[in-house]
Amino acid sequence: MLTFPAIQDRLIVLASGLIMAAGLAYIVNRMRVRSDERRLGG
Amino acid sequence: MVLQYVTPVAEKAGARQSVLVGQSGDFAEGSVKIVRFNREPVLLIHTSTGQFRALSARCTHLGCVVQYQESPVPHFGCNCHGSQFDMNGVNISGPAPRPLPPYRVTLSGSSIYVAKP
Amino acid sequence: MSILRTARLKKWIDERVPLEDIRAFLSSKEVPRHRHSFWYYFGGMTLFFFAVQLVTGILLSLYYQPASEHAYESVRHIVNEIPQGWLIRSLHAWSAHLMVLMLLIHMFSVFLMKAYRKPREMMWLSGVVLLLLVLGFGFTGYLLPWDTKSYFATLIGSEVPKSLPLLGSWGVSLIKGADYIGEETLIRMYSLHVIILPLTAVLFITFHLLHNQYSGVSVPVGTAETKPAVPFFPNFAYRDMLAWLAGFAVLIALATIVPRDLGEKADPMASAPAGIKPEWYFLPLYQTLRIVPSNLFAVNGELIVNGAVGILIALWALIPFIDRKSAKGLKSPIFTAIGICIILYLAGTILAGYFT
Repeated sequence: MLTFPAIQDRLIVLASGLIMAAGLAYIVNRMRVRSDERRLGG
Repeated sequence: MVLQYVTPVAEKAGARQSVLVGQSGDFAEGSVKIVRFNREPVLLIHTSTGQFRALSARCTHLGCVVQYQESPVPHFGCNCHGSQFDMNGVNISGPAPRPLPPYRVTLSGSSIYVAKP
Repeated sequence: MSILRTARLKKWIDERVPLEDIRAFLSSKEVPRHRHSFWYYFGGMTLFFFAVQLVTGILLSLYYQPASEHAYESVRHIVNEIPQGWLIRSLHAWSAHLMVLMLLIHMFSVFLMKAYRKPREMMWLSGVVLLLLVLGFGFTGYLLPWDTKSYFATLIGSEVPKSLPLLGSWGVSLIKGADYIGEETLIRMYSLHVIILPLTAVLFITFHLLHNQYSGVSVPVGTAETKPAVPFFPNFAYRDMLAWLAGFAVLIALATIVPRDLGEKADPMASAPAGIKPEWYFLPLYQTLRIVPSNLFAVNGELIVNGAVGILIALWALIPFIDRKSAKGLKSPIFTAIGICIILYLAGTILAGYFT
């Protein structure tokens, strides 16, 4: 009934989504560490 | 006032008492077809003895449309919760609480009309 | 130069909106740390998936047509022809599942940790309302693609409360907009799904969050805090965001590898196909209706199930007022046992409903 993009194309979308999430997670985690150092004393 | 606005209005226009569902040639002997009576699905049964009968196709349990099944014996089954009805519409098993209500069939020449009983 | 500019902008805003006060308000809440703190993430995860629902829902609404003649085709159009339409729809469908799952985990962890106890009774009540709203989202959204499965599932679902006395059949006709599932039903479901429920949900979420901000995070009775508490903002908010990103990773993996399909277009005059089942979160109700005979002690079986479900939801909402022990800060193992029994029953009926 529905035609979805080929699995390779969908995996590219998945990969870019995961890369974006990982990049954001890296930034957020660095900010978390910095804020913890400031508020909780490391 | 708001309640009046949101309460559905009963359908007045367009609902007919008697509906032409087809010509007798459209229905082979011993076959069952679902025909449309206004908004309602109706089972039109052409018995092997050549008679026409009609039953509501709506399962009396939760309103699914039943299906004609030939085996092991001809009956109507509801796929939603497994209710079964015999060829007269009597509920024989499953959760259905009541038989399928009958409709009245009239023939005018070869035209078949279905009406509320 | 640019630092000076940001400082000036900050000052400009500060003179008008008390940003510092808001920040102080947000950091005044502390999130305790102990061996059960893992469960503190699930409320935020529910909120995250709700946000995904808002964004993807708005995007879908740009192309979706709530008319029985066009609904199915418009969904097919979104998936087959609109660039990335398949992704948006799959994200919306999967995020709905994950939102319900996160909500259930959040609710039961709150229940087992007795976080509903005084002074958070109203937070629990608003949470129960949010549960019902989320189930309402699931039910109303299910019909919108207008395929066979969604049509008959809605037909059955809307038939179920009919056995309730007095308001049952009137309530059903109010939701259906007619005696049958048709154009009017679709429009009412759409209106509920995209306007009424979201507005109500946002209202209750705001209350839920503000209440949480004021009352702080509950620590289970008798649990020792192992580490110093973390300020909610910004420290815990970063941890929350990391959890959201993990949730996003799971969501996009599901949406791309198992994109949401669409069945045949619904035909109200055709026989119901075999295997009509509701979404997994309605399976406990479905399975219970299957187990209870149609006539029990000369009373209609559905009436019994519906009545029981209504009473149980009311009791569930009133738990903070029933569990007097935990209100006094004592352990209440009976309620832990009740909670575990309910979880086992729900899990059992979901599995039984899914595999039979």
